[in-house]
Amino acid sequence: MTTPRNTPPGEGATALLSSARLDALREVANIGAGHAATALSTLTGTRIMISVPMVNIVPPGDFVPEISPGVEIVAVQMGMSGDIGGQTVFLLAIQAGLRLAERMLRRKRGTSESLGLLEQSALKEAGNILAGAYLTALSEFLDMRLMLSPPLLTTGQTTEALKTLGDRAPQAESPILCVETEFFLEEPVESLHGFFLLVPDPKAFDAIFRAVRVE
Amino acid sequence: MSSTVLVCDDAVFMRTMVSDILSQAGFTVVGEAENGKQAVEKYQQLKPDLVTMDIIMPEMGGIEAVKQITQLDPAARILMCSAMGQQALVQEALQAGARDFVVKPFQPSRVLEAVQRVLA
Repeated sequence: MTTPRNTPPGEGATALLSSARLDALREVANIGAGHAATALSTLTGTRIMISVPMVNIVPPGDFVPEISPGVEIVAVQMGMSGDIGGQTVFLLAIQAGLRLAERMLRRKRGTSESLGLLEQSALKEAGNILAGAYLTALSEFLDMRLMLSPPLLTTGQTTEALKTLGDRAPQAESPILCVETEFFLEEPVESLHGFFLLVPDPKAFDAIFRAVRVE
Repeated sequence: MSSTVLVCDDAVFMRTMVSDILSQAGFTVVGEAENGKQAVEKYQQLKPDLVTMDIIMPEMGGIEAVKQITQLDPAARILMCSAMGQQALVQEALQAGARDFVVKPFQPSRVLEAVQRVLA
């Protein structure tokens, strides 16, 4: 589960957003994540469960949840453009990433020890398919045209992995809004989990609320 | 003689997957491209019967590549294979000259059906 951040999830969001807007954002995230989960399930042949989406307000440098302290992560980030801008991030612990890559590459569980080029390519494709499905659902729900940039994969401690995102990380002086969904991939021996984050640019929110007719 | 295919996708994982599906069904994969620019170059060089084309790629995206390829050869047969299933994008790809569209992730049978349609 997520390690609590300085701002308890949801609390800051409630202070800044009306409950109608918060509700609308959660519904948008729910529709997107539902489609993304179906895509991930088809890709891996595994049952995928998702959490209720959380809308968090976090400092720009702290927009990614820590999976657990000290655990190295793999993050696949994609830029979002079109009618609204922002980015999407798919992240999970390296070990969970290896298991996911093995499933996609039809390898036996536990046979891959490190994230080589092919494993990285599989995870980038998983990020691409997740984000593609999420945004396809969003674009139809919001009646917007949304595009993605090619995936960028980084690994390491959470802060390190995000630092290497460099210019592509959210740039803002004030806290940003981040819509977070947790994924659970049910395996026979263990349940793998990861996160999918939607981080719209601050100005994208008005467009989203206009589209769902919530003022 | 079996039909020849050029597979264009920036992910080596996806190029391998599509190539395997097509080879096992009896097609000959004559080349792979990792972005739209390479696809245009390889199309001229290899003159394949079919191109499978991703949309989101570095350097040049798939829709621009479709436009350039169909300008060079209006009879080119291109099948889009993308995770972006938005109606507007599907329309845009078809208007650019693509013949059909398959949304990722796909089952092998879905790709083969679309390939047969495009080559028919």
